[in-house]
Amino acid sequence: MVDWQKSNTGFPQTIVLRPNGSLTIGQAAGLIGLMAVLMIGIGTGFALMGAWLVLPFSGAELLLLIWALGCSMRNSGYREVITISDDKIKIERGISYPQQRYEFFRAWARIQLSHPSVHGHLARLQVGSHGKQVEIGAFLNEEEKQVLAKELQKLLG
Amino acid sequence: MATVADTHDTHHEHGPAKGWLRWVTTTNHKDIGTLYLTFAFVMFIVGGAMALIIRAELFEPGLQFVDPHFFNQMTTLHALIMVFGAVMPAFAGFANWMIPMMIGAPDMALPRLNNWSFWLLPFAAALLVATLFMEGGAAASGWTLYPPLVLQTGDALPFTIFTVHILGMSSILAAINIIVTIFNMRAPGMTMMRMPMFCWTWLVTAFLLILVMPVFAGAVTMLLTDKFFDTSFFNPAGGGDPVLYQHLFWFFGHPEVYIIILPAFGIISAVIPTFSRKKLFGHNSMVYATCVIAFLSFIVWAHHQFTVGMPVPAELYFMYATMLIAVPTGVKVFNWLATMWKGSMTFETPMLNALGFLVLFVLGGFTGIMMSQAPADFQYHDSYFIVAHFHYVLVGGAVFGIFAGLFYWLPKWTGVMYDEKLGKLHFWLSFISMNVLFMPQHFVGLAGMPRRIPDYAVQFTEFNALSSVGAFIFGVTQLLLGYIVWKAIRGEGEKVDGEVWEGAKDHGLEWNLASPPPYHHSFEGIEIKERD
Repeated sequence: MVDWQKSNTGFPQTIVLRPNGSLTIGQAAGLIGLMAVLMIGIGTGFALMGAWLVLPFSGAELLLLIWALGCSMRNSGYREVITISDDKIKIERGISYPQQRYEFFRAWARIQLSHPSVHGHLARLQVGSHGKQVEIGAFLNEEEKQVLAKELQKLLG
Repeated sequence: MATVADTHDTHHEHGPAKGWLRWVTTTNHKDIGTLYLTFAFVMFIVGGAMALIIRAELFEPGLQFVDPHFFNQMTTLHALIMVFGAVMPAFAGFANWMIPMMIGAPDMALPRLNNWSFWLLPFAAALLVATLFMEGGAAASGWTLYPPLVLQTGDALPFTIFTVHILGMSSILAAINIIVTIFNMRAPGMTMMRMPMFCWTWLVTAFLLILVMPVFAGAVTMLLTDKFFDTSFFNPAGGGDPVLYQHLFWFFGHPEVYIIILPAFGIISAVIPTFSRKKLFGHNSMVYATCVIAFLSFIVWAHHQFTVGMPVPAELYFMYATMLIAVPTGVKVFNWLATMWKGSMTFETPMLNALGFLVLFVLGGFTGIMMSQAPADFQYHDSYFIVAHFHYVLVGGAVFGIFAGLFYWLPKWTGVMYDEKLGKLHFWLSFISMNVLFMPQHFVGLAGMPRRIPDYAVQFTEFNALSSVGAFIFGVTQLLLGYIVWKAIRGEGEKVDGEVWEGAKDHGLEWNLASPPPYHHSFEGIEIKERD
């Protein structure tokens, strides 16, 4: 998904790209809470009947569910922030904080939307100059990539 | 000056790997779906071969081909392989192929976990089959693995239990992946109530799986400790109780029945509207009915144990609770019928299989209601009537559901239409032989023939011979299924467009993609509509 934070008064302009995530942290917490009550409840019930070995399996599985949800939520938290200032285009990406940074001179930057040579592959949108290329929005769909490419072209002038 | 260069890519790192390593290392949901379905078919043939050994032995009274101990090993492994190796992986294959495309996601939420959850299966299945060759043979206790009988298994016992753990682990990983995918990967606009029924039924199935699998894992681990570590969970001599195992097993085992059948409900809810050219009648009520069935499946387990000596109030409770399941199931059947009502129906192979499902599942459901009556169940218990009942549900329901889904989505997956004539031939042969196979078992069961025996009284001969003939026809017919699918995979057939079936685009996002869909699909310009 593409969030535009355009400024009407010129530069800097910021574009935030993020993968789709349909679950909020609150919903995830609610889901884990519900499953914890059910799984630990069932395990405890059987433990009270003498079958206590169910409980460790319930606990292990609950941890696995929490890990899986956490991984997916974490991946959904990935952001690519493209900032276009008067003379530069800056790309920052990472989860929670910028883990990678790239900068190009705006005047030299080139936007490249490449169609795949193999059927079934997705197009790639890249920003770069002087032989150095950085792919952006790999998680966007083709339509979003095309719109973004055109918009970036306009902004870069 | 900046420009947008519209070029052709020369990078290849996102495509499928070449050769067999592609299938080992793949994290692509379509590849993994194909792996699951291929594995399921292989196990269907292996489990089917075991069924044919059983039916060959039962063709006439007396012992013909195998000794009673081996016969019991066959009944045990046939069931374990069909449930955990064939039917569940087949539905996991459908889930992998279809759920991301149905909810507008690029792939499953945890692709590497997905790869692992599949690749656990072949090793578990190989180990399970290998137990046949161990000292003392494979487990011969039936798929329920009841103590104390199962504790008499030879060297194979720990391996069987290890196998059950691995199979359970695979199911849990797949279930967690499906839950996370459906909750977190839905496309904007794809609200929960807009999701297709197939996704809903799989979501509910996934919850059932993760709630009951720890119980089964705990139960079989306690068998292991009773055998090797001197515990007495199920040993009365040490203060334990073998009936506790039955409660544990059926707390898992009854929801397991719904784990097997709910995804089939989802497939049928996709097929019937397409070939009736109408929207699914009562989508929301179908969702609620699925949830109610899932809830009820947790509170009825002891109807499998009516003869164990429960107090009468408990028998009454489990009897009435079990009868309640007929209500939400009836809602589903009513909605499928209402969907077809005044529809412009056509009868291509997927629809024939869906109708076959409907007829056979309802028959299996009716005998289920008979068995829910505790006093009557004292007659049916452990008889061939039970065998007939659950095969109507599991073969007539789950397997025909798989056939319907396979023929429905096969053109989407391969890009070519399967051989319709052979498809219809496969359906009719399967439908007729299935009834020849299992219908007579009702009668011998009611007349008193017990299950899990290699020999029987002579008055049951004719019905058993008929049943065995049906089994062999049904078995050979499944080789025809393999041939039909093989032809389609090789691209032999008429090329199809993305929609495949007339009006299919109204029934799901997947029909907006090309056939076959791109290795990495992406949805563009598609509006996700509110359901009517």
